[in-house]
Amino acid sequence: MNGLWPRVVDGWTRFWHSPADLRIVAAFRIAFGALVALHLLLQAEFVTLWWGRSGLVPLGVAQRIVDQDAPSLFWLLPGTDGVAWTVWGLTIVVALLLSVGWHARVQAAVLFVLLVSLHNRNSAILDGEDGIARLLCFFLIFTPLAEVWSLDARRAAAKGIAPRTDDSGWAVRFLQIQTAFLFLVAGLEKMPGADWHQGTALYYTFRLDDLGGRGWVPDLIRDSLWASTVMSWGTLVGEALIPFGAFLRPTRRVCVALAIGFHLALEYLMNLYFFEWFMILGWLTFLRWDEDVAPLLAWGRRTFGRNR
Amino acid sequence: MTPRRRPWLDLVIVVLLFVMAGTGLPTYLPGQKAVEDALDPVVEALGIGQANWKLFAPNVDKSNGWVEAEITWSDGSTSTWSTPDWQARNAWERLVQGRYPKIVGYYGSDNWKALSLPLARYVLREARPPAKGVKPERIVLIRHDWLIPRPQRFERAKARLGRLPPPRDRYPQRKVFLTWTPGGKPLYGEDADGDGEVDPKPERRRKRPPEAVPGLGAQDAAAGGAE
Repeated sequence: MNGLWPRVVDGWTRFWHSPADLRIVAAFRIAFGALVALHLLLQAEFVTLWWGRSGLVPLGVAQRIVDQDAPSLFWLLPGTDGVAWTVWGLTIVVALLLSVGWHARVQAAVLFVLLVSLHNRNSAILDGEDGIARLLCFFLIFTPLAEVWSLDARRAAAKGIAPRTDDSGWAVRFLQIQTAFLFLVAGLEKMPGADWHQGTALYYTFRLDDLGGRGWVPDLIRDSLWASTVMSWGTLVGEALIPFGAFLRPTRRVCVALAIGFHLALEYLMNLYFFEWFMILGWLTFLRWDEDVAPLLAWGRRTFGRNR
Repeated sequence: MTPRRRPWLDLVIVVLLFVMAGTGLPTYLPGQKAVEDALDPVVEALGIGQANWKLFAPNVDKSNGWVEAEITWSDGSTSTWSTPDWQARNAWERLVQGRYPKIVGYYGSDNWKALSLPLARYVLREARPPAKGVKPERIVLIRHDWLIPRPQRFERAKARLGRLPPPRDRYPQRKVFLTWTPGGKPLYGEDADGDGEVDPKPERRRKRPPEAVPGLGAQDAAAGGAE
């Protein structure tokens, strides 16, 4: 027993405070900023519809339907369409500045405030992608997000300042844990559901006219209760096991690959807006640049580079 | 990282883990609801609470629905407006209209009554009067739904309807959830006789014999279908 506590402390320290992989964090920052900007840009034709005075949820109604403690910059500003356009545009600009790494930590913090403001301004249109984007953005603030591949890094290099490689990677752990936690809870929430036990869940989702019916699926699979049962149970098992396996060295790669494959399959089958892409980004933080990404890139260069 | 900073950081980590579990785990777990309620004011104010991760859970929503608005103008003419037809969308529309289904799903629900009148106002702002000087006299918001039949009833429903889901104009359930005369008091239901009172008709409609509803079996109707 004497040796147990030191081992726990050592394990905790290694898990939480090992230095982050700076290139993985930088790649995440670049992709995350771009994804936030893109998913907002695609809402250009709906800006006043969702967030404006002339839209579906005027300011007063927005405050009635959201949690009374929920903050938003919109509560402090006039409820005009102009304000909606300004906040929407500013959020895109900040997301892009985060992506290029210009005062990146400040941009991440400002982006978090803007995302919370937009989300609370109209909670009637929120879905999974909004929740995961907001929480990933929050944890991103505390990561070493711009030590490489950023304008901040370039400015630091010009001053002769080297990237800090020994900072605790605790916040990157939270990016991973948030992604895995969502996946696990999505599975736990399904546990009491008869549709999932009986294997009919996928049968129903294939017939939802709004969220389902995106990619073509042969009738043989679409109409088969066997296929629905296999996929329903496969989802339950995957959502229960992958979140744990992703943290274990022997199963990490397999679990991340399975999770990404799962999200890509959902992306093909369903209309879930940007949820799958934010989740895939979250899973990519489990990778290590030298062990996983660099060999893949080298393989890509060998395979495709010479043929050109 | 200096050793002096780490204990504080460890404390922050423990607090954040507690917040994550306390606001994110399913509320059917013992004590979870109490923890969530206690944490809610703080985490909502900070924007760091977990979202709703009930993705198709605990059961899949079995209702397909859309919303229609009928406007009656002062010259006696009528016009209609509707939410997008999900089945008729092309790939681009499916992408950019990704947020639409969420809010459309709420219309007609008692929990989201506050959204009805703004929708009516929005439709009237967007509508083109049939002639100059013609004013909107009344707007009625209607929700149309089709409940996906149980797998055991699938073949029967498919034989009857051709394809599942059927085209949305064949969705059998119809519920008026708002009747409003601009300037007047909104009525959250149908007021066909114009007496300023909500008609009891939706209740009677719900009692239609289930077998008479195309594509919907008796068991499905009894089960209620949607969550």
